[in-house]
Amino acid sequence: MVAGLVITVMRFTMGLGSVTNLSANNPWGLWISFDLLCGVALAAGGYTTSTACYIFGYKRFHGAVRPAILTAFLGYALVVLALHYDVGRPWRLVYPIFYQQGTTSVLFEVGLCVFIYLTVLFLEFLPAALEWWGRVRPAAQRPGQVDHGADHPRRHPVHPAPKFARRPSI
Amino acid sequence: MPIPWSTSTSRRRGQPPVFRKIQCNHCLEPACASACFVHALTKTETGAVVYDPSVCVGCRYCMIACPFNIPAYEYHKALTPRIMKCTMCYPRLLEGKLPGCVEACPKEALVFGKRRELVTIAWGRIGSHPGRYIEHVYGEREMGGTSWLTIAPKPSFAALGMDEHLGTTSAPELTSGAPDRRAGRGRRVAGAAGRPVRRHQASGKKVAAAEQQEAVAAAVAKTTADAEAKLTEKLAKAEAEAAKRTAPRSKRPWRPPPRKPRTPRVPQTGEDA
Repeated sequence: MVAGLVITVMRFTMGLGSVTNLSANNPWGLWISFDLLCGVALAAGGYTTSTACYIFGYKRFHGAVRPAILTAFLGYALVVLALHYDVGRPWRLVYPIFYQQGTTSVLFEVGLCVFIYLTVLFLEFLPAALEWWGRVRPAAQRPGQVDHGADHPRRHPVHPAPKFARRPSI
Repeated sequence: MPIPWSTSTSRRRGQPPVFRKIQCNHCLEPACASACFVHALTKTETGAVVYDPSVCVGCRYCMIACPFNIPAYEYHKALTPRIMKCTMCYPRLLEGKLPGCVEACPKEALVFGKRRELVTIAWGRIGSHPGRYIEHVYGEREMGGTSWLTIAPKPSFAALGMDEHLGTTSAPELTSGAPDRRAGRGRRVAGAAGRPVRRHQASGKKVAAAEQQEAVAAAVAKTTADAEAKLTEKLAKAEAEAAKRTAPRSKRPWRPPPRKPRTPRVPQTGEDA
């Protein structure tokens, strides 16, 4: 931890040359390659679990979705954090998307995907965070979630609403 | 920063070493410009590939993309690192001046001009000094053509550290999905104005087609004849200049100095021939 802090300070005061062995012939090294590898791999788990549960309807993965989304979001957030260390001017990481697009580059597509998917993951993670904060009630306590028509004795039997009309239970 | 010059260990005895200037080759379709995701590197109308440090993020993808390994990076700077490479003195070019290196070279080893003319001059030099140069203009077609051309003395470009296996396809074309139609530039038939000749005929498509072919063939013949005339003119000029340079100073005919007769050397074991 302490070593990490020391190296962070060195990188942001003395440059990448002081903490890496990068050169003109080796501009990308272990830091960026390993970190992107791990972070994106973590996000893959979240992507497949949520797709399986909500798009393909495998409800038995429902319990795994929240932890998977959290892991995925952390993975992508750490990817961006690692990019902040590796790239020369990290505050310009949004330039390719908002300021001047270099659309001939494969890296442009990669950057766009990272940007969009990080936003998507953040939005998917938001309900859990807001629930913890107390701003949103957990899914089981929200009104209209449970099919009351089946429970109440006086009501005549109600056909269950089709899946897409019900509120998604996150 | 790559060393901006290099020496080659000449295999010929008693010959002085060969020096080469290493700099951005300003490719016609630069890999670095294609790889940059903020469009910080652009090919300008002067031929120079210029860098814009005001948008560069410092991702160093251009350094990986360049087939000649040219861009360097300021690793010693923490918050304002830049990619460093030759810019062909773009501000000077805009003022109509020569690039700094060309102007400074005392031996006139560097020549600046229109690419087409430089190719002619390069081949002219190769032709007028038979046996001295490698019969190849490096950069004429390498990586789709570069705006920096090099001619070198024998034995090889590889001896100077130049990559001989780059091929003639530009880097963006290698990685693009659709083939670039502009790559077939050399094969497109041009009219006298440089554009395909078109004719519209009310009667008979066959007649129109035949007339079009005729017109196109005439245009091609004319441009080839023009090009040949220009080439012969240029070659004559180059020859005259070369003759001027190598003209003997004295009126007496040159005689080789007297030499002792030598027995031929037999190469010993373990020695290169």
